[in-house]
Amino acid sequence: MTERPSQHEQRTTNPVQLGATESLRDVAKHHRLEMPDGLNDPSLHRVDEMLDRLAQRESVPTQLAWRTFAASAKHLPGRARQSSAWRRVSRSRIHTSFWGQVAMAASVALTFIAASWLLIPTPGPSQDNGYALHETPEAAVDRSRSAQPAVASPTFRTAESMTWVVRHSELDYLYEASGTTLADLTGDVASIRADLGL
Amino acid sequence: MTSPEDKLEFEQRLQEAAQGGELAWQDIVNHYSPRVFALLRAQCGDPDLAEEIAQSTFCTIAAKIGSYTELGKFEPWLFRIAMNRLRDEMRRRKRQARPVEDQALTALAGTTDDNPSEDAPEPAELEALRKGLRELSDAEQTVIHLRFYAGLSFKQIAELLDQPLGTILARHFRTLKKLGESVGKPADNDEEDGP
Repeated sequence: MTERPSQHEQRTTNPVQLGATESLRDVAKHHRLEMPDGLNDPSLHRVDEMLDRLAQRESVPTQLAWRTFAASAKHLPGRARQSSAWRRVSRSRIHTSFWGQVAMAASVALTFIAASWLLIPTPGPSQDNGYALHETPEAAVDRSRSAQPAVASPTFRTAESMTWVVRHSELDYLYEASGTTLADLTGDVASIRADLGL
Repeated sequence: MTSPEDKLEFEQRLQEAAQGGELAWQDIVNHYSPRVFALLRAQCGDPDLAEEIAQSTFCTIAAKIGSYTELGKFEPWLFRIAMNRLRDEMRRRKRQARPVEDQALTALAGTTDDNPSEDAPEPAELEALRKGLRELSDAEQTVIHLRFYAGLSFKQIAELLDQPLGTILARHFRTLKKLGESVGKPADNDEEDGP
């Protein structure tokens, strides 16, 4: 961007040199146009001069030219070309450099991981050797307890928190049998927790 | 600034600006923005609107200057865009233009020249001129504004208004004659129109 003009430069552009650039008589003579007889009337030239004086005394707002330049310079064709060229160069650098490719690969991998984390559901009983404690079989839910005050049960605290999943070969029978009860599950999990020192 | 009035130099500046040259564009803006502003303010009487339209005009010129071919008609092009944009804005605002001559003439009447000459207009003359300017038609005022505020030649005014040069000259002559009568020194000659 061009530097802001100094006060001296601003003053040199203000006041503006306005006014008529040519006389009516000269133009008529130059173009060989026949003008009315009153063209040489002194009173007309007097009015012409008064209008010229008015225009020459016209002032413009301070820094008008600078504001106009600042607003319009960004629309110059070179600016647009420069901007698009910069974008092309940037894209080219990203695509061709080694670290650019590494960055692209990393961003794709991160996107994939994030999408997987968000979209893939929590592992359930149907998964291999996996069992989520919070997914208690419907048959094992004691609905009469729902009206009772919550009891500080280690098993249910774990199930509520959903912070860990027990994987153990001893639990294979749980997803092979259809009649698993909460009592069965609670006892087995308690023993596993004891083995793990939890 | 380096004056772009010289034709070859001005063409060079246009070419530089068309290629994104900011310095060249700044010269063009410095030279023409006051004239565009003066014309617009004379037409609408609103300095704020005049500056707004002036900036918009130069934004348009900057965006299109890359495809502009200089054939000596830059000024008519520039001022035509400004006039059209002002007209559109005035229509949008549904507001009648009021003559700025009131303000200009008041300023002129209220100040004294540093070097007053024998030909300096009397306040009574200015008042009469103000009255005469109010009574001009829009077409007559436009010619006056284009000539004295935009600084266009009669040929350029004719191109801008898309009218024959003789018509513009005759209109201008009639306008001066009307104003002369308003000032109190009517011309003695017949009111013959031009070609």
